[in-house]
Amino acid sequence: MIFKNTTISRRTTIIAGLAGLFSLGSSGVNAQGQTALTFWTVRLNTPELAEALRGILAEFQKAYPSIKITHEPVSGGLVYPKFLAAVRGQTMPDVAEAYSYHPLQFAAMDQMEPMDDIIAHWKSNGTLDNIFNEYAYKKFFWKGRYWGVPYNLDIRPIYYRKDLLDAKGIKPPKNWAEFQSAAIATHNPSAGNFGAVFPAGDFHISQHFFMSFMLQAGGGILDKDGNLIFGTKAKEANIRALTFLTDLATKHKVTPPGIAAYNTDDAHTIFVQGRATFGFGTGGVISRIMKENPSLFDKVGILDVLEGPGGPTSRLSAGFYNPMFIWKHSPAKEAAKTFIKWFIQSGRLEPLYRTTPGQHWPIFKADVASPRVKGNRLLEEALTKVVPFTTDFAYPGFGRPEMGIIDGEKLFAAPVNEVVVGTKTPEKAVMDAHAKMARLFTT
Amino acid sequence: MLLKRRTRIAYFMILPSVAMITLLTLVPLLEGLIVSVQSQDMGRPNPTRFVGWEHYIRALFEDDDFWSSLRRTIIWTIGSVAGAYCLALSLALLVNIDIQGRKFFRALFLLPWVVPEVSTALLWKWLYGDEFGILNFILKSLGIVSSPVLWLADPNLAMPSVIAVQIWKLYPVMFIVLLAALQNVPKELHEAAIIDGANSRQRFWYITLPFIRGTSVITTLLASIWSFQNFDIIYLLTGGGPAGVTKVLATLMYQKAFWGSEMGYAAAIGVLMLVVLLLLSIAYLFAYKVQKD
Amino acid sequence: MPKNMLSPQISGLKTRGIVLFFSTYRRAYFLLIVYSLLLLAATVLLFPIFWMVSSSLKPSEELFARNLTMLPIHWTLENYRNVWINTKFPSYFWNSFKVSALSTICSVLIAMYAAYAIARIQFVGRYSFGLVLLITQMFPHILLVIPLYLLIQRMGLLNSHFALFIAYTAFSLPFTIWLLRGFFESIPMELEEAAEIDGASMLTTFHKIILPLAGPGLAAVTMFSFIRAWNEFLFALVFLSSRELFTMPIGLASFQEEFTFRWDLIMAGAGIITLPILLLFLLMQRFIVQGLLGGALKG
Repeated sequence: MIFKNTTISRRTTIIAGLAGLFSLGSSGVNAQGQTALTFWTVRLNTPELAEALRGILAEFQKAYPSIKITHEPVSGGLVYPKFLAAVRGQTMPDVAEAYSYHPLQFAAMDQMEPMDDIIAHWKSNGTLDNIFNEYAYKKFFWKGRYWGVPYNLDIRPIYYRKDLLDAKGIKPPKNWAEFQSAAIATHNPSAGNFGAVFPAGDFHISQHFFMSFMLQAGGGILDKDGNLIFGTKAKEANIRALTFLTDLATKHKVTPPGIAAYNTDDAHTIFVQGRATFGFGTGGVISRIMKENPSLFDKVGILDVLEGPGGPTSRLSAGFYNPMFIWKHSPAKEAAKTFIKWFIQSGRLEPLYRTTPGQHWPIFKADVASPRVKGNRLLEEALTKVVPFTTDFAYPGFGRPEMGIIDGEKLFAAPVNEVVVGTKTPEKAVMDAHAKMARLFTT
Repeated sequence: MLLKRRTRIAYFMILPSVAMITLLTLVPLLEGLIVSVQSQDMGRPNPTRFVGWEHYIRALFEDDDFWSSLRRTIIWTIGSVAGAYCLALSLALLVNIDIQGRKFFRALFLLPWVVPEVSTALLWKWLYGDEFGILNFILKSLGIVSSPVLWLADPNLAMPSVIAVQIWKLYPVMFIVLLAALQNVPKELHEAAIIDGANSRQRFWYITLPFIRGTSVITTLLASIWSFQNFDIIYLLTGGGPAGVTKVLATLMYQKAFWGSEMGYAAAIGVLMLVVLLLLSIAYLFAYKVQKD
Repeated sequence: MPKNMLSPQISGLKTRGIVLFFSTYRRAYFLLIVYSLLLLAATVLLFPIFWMVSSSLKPSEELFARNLTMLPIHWTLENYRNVWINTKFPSYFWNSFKVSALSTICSVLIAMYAAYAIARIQFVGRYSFGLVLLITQMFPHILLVIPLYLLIQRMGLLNSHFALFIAYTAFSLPFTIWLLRGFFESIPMELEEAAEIDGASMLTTFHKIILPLAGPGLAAVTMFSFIRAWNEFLFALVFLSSRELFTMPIGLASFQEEFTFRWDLIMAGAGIITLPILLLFLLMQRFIVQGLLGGALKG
């Protein structure tokens, strides 16, 4: 810039400019003589988790010095654009961990390397039996091949306040009717306590709890052959489930008035701050309680998965087995497979689980007995009461790529939101959502 | 040379900008146009195929979401820009008064502009909260309300609430531009009018406003363009809810492109957004020119 | 209320004493109203920022307490420490600064020539160029993201600050040219005409006479461009993949887990992003407003 009475000489400007441009150009370094592996993560990106991951990856480097692994975090709500742009530009990462249905969606675009050999390997060495639920890997089965492998689990427990139930002489509910009456009985707005809190905003989380109740009512989205039954065969059950959930807000009014704007965190905060008897949340509530309101810890428990109209065999809870997958056109496929086999093993990911207790879950039964879990009552409750009954959205169908869109476009979060706000009846909401889903299956 | 020397220099002077703008905005737009006439449904193994007007027809005639989102986008834009303009003008008039400390206030009023968009959205979401939001806390403490106001959960309040956030973000730029324009109004005109007995209302209407008309038109036009495309604020605050009352074209487009894996349809929506903006701008500028004469 | 209470014409019509009494009283009353309005406006409008800063200084227990307090009960710098030391925020800060500063400088340099050309020179395409500048600002960025990504990739510049540099420069050009054009147009032509008579070429005139006067205008556009680049999010997110290269908005976004917002980090992070700009702005604001005045040179 040229200010009055001073001029910067041309030469200096040019040199400064070139130096500036040069500094912009330098980025990554390529290692010589090693196989380079890029590893994208979408949920291991907060400072603490990244640190824990760094430690794990360093161990991998030591075990396999010939593979150089570079971790790249992909963060925020714009995960899809990055992956889609990478598909179009053919710069996909060699290996990645991402959203639930990514492997199937990318397989539909012919971008995924089949994981059948890893599954077979796991079958032979007993790993498969060690996984909590067969839908953990079955959800990635499509058109005859497995396209992803599960590596962690995301659960949706219902937390409860033991002290508030005890005060009314109520036992922890085990079925829908008990749950509803417990919520109503302990609802005490003058004391600042709500019966229940769940997120009902137009965000992804809202559909997760609807899903749990759908399964418990004997309903669902797909049948076992992968056909859409949301608004057809499963219609009645799904409407029942939606009604049960939303009645807490609309009919019985035991929820905070603002849940129609709640995202995950808002519901968590209400419960963690001790203002609700029942809180619907992710596993992350545990670490939030420990961090923000430790005195509440002993008063909190996790409910058994409720029994609904579908009966004892439908005693299921929604969850996500999160995948890792490999790019079909990766030049380092073998190295990627080696990495995956090394990474997904019982006990390997303990550092991650220790960092934010509850946020991430192992998929192996053996991990229930780890000292980390044994030392934390809530983790233990989650691992014994919820995890074994957690299944995937597509249950009882195997995966379909369309599930990625149904989940991604939050097609069945809208019903929850609309009914709570009062603009639609449960029946209409379910039918409208079905219409949108049906469109995906026909094209 | 055929061209005058001055003209040649002119072309050289605009060359770098033309090159950069063409390469980095016009070329991608062209590509977006091409995508909009193709089927780029990412979830399918089919290679890209040409589908002509299919996406446009779907948007304009088959998808209810498009027109309702367009309507809401226009409400959102007009609400934000009109609100920001009134606020900006009022503040500019206040700060224009020759008093001590005006420079201090001038700097203060510009602060909301500096907060990044992501933080703005999260901050306001939190402010608006029913149980932990400071707004409801203040209202309750003052006894104005007994139960929390559902700023973001009530379908009637959601749109005004997000518009308020956008006003907060928009007004600083308009404020500073209008202030500059106000300070250009010759003092002599005001003084002459006082002598003639005009009161301040008349002076405002007949002297000040006409003088800042040009600036007002341009700044409201630019603000409209920015608001029309705005995405972050609504998406982070309400996700398009409750019950879809804050679903605007930008969020629709984002959802289709990145969650629905329908790049072609999303591109068509994007192009239609551009067309709407162009038409509205032309109409607006035309009205301005007509009024001028 | 008339602005100029003590205009000579009025005071000449009444006795001094009465005028002084009433006009002082009215002026005081007037000032009271004006200051009250200003204070009210400032309080209301700046409250969110105050809240952000206050929250960032609170320990996490206080953020969601039943009784919220305006100021922290237990002041703590823990959140800032956490963000600055335990995350890569310092390098995000430097990355943001690097990219924003360089793209701003480049953009202003390119723009000032183009702006002058449109302002002063009659050439074919002058009007269309101005129109293109306006229209390009109407392109929805989401529409442009993927094609731009592919373009950058073809140029081999993915995951580099260079990609951001050229994107930010290009996107800030239309508005910058627009503003500078207005500024140049408001400079009286007599100066250039005088130079022409003296035999100076147009470029020389531009460099030696116009530019030195353009300090304020350049300051204004520099500020606009810098802030836009500093806060830009979409392209940084799509173009960059290595954590070392992240700019601050992306760094801030990375504090969000899949379903959780880390409020403590986010508020502190937002504070860190905002504060430098604030300071820079407070320092430069006099130039900036002057630049927007443009016509200050006339008076």
